[in-house]
Amino acid sequence: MNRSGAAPSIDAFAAVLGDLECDPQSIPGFDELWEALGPGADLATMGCENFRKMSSPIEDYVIACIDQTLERHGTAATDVDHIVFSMTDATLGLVGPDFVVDVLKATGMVRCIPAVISYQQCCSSLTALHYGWQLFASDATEHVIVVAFDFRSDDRDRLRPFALFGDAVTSCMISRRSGSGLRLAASAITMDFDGLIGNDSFASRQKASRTALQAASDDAGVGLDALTRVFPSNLFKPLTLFNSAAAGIDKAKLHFDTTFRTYGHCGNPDWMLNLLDFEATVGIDEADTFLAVASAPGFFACNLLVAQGPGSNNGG
Amino acid sequence: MVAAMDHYRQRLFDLARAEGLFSDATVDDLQPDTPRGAVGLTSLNVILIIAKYLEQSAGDIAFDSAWVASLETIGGIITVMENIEALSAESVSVA
Repeated sequence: MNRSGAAPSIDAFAAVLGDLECDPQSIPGFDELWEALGPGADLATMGCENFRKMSSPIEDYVIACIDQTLERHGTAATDVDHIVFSMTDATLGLVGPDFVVDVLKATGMVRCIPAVISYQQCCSSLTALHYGWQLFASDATEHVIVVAFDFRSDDRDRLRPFALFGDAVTSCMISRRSGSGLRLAASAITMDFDGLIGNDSFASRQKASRTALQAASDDAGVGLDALTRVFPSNLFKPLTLFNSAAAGIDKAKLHFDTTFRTYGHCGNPDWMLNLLDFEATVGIDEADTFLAVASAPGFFACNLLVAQGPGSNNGG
Repeated sequence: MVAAMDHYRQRLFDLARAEGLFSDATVDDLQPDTPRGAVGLTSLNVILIIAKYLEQSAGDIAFDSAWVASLETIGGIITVMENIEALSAESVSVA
């Protein structure tokens, strides 16, 4: 049953960050950890000054974030058909067995079908958006919420050679509601097994990123030079710059400085945090073209998103 | 050519030293064919050094795949440093 007949679009982005603002030096044994794990440089040169930490169970933040998306979209919880959660492998192991039931009950999404996308590290949320988009192949699908979250239970796990982890949840709505929003023009992911087992090289990482970017660019018929802005994973600034140059992305199009400096690397929510920051500080115009990018050891993913004006129906 | 290599070899050494790297190595240890690992440079160390060049560079500098593959040796790292500076200078003069 196709109730509205309109093509899907993505909007109502929302974020809930860890409620505690923390200094990296507050991590127990920070100096020793950084000396052992860090690339040899002072953390201050890495572009990250603080991180956010959750003081309550993850369900509280996820529920608050979904409520924000529902409110921004003006949709009743009972009208949501599907919800797709995404998280890193580590976070998946921290989520309790009652997580989904608790979230559905608290938000009132009593006829919503849940699913989870993981095992793709920080790339999981890009695949989750693609999965949610594909659910609109069924005419019966009207509203899909995509949720991305990551958190750490032990502060000593926050420090990695490539980033300092913070805690956050982000969400958005895919719906057939006619109006402004983003269209998912293409989605691509590559897996580099050498990266999964820690044997990757500069060349193999570059191959993974360029293969995915080329696939997305070809599918969408949009070249990298046509992008308005790129929302990457919030890794240490030198790494993000290097990875982007290796992938062929113009550093001037990266939008991540403020969120990374303030929140740290929040895993799967990163690209949505960067998009939200761009929306708040610059604003999204009709026909803007964005690239959401995520990278992790062994993975590179990208989603090409095109802003639509009110009333557009660009096909799904 | 040799003078340019010496110039960048010294630059690489100074940059790495500024980051607390190369505690045992000397400039003379940085020969073009030397694998980066032989002088204690991890891939992250190399990224830090190249990123410093990228941060200071003007314009859009995309890496050639040959550059990336060459970052496994001291000579390759120096070549990439030279290339970034050359492309950056071109961007500035065009602008």
